[in-house]
Amino acid sequence: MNLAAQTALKSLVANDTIRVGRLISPLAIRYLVVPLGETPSKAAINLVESLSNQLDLRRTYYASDLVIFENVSWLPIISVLDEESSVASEQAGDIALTGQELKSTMPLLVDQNSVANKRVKSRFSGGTVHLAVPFDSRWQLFVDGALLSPRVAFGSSTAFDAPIAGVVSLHYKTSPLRYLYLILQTLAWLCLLMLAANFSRFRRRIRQIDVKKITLVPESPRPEQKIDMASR
Amino acid sequence: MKKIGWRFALAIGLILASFIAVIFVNQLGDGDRTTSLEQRSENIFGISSMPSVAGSSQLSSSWFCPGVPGAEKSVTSEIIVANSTDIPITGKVTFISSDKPAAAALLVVQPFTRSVFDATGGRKSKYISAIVELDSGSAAVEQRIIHPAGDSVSLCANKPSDRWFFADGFTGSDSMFNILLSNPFPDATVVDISFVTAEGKREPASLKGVIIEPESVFSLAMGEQGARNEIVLAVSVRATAGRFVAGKLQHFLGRGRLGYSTSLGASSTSRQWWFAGGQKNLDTDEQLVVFNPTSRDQSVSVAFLTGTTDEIFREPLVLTIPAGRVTTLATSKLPAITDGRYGIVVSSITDDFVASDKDSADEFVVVEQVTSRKFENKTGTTTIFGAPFGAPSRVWTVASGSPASGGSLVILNATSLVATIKISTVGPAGSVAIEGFEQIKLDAAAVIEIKIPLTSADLPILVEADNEIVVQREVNRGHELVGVSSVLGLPHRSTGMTLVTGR
Repeated sequence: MNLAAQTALKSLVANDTIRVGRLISPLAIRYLVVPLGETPSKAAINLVESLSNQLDLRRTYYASDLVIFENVSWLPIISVLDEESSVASEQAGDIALTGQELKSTMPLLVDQNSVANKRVKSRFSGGTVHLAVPFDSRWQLFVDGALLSPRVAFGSSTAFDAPIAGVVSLHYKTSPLRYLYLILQTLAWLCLLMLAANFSRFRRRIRQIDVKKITLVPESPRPEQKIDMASR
Repeated sequence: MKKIGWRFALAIGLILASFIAVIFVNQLGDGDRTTSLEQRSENIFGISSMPSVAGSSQLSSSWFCPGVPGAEKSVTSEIIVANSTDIPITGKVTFISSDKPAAAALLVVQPFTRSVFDATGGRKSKYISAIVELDSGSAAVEQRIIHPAGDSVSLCANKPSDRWFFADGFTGSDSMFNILLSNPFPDATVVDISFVTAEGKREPASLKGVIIEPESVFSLAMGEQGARNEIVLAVSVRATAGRFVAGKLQHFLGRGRLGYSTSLGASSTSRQWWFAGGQKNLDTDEQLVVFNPTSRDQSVSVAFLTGTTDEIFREPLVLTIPAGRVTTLATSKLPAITDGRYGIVVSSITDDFVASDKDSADEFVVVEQVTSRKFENKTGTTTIFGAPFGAPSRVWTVASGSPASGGSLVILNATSLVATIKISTVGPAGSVAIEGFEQIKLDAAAVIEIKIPLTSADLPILVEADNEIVVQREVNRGHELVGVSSVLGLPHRSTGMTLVTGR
């Protein structure tokens, strides 16, 4: 998806497209903000110029120091695509994106959590559910408990073809290998830390201190002093 | 003790090396990206304001056509898309109109062909504009109106602009002069319109803050805006919010002008305007209309290019156009010009632009050429904008070619070197040079008129040269009318286009 965003931005800067909104639509990008500052650079001015020529961006805020465009073709992070967009999502490349405006019929699983931690469940009446996240086969969509497997959408994001209506929930099944990698990474860091800190040097320092024999000399007995109180 | 230091230093060294490697790799990546963008920027932001063919350097292209009448039964209109590559071009055409919602249709243009589409999309609206989006940078698009008063071809813009200018409006003898403002954006565009007549500049309150609704076409009959029966009429349209595309439809009905002419507006002023199709003879009445939309007086030099050495070095004609006014130069009446074909270059001399480095924000002038040709009491008039500064190129495409009714190419060598020119048509076998036009020598600053043979009619034409040239097409107006309709070819962007600094 980074590649998709990069390609879209390159097309924008190169004036290669007038539909950048559609190109970034599967990435769920709704606003494009260009901070210009007091003395805008030439690159920033050119960027605003290119953005101003885009047919699917709406000027939301236009000031000398800040410009905000709204993408009228944006898709929510999790949404149900309409039929045409669903067909388009099976293809990759700019043509699939720019050929028509992508539309969602409704957003799904709206809550405050990130995509991978959705706690809510939504009811929907079937269709293609699009996730604005990089494709990963570990995404799982459950419709009334039935597990659906994902497919690649628009060549980069994730979609589920769900021909059945019901209550939807989304999960990401973390790979067991991830935990192994975490353990390995922790071990590697520990090793590096030990190597850098070199705890054994304290022991060695102690070892390297010269051993000196200490001879205990018994104190010689002093003569007992007697005070003759009577002679005083 | 020594052993401990060694290991400690090794560990620190490893960590530092990792950090340096990460920074180095990141910087290397950034550098590559910056270079790539800069290379693209040089082509993209340093181009002329004139519509052009991007070429293979660009993966797609967009064309905003100025608009056609959609409700007149006697008028038909076409969008011509030329594909000079060996792969099919696909795309989409969106029709926006004055009173209906936008509609889109898919299109496919087969390799080495040109496709002709109905410019109205089968819709009945007063005015309709087409936006053509294609998946190839090598495509070329034009708009053609077939009108009983004379067919007219006009260029389509590559992008909208926040300002458009027209130097020659004409409402004499109740001639029609309509301006079409197309807004292809999802936001409304707000424009201020001002015009200049022989009496001076006028900015009616009714033309301030005119709203062009999203994805619609707004038409303005200048005769109904207090500019009736004017023989001098220049128009500036500037957006206060948004961008748009502007074109003009002119139907000349008298006072020395007859016929139908359409044109895309000028999206910027320029400090130089090139015209290939100058002509002087007893039957031709030619004018240069110079519009100064700025708030300061502008001086321009007008040089006539015939390829003859002594005429090249002749002192150019100097005109001063007062701020916000129009000056018309009747070139046919200049005694110093000999009969025949010539090129014209109009250059701003207000500032020494060679030495100036801060004029990129300045505005200069807009120049149009008006040519009326007469034959047996019949007249045919055409208007054409010149090629602005930066437009002369080594490769030009003529998308719709020359019609079967006849036409010619007029080519101006814009350099001081001899140019060798090849003229090809794009047909089923690809680009093939027209017999007899494989190698044409054209002297410095000279003009040549080439009649396109009927066997090459309706084929896209490719003109290639080893120096910068300007290509203008003159096609018969059809309907057995006298005169021609003039339109520039489309220069190729990546070959010889230089930086534009005028706005």
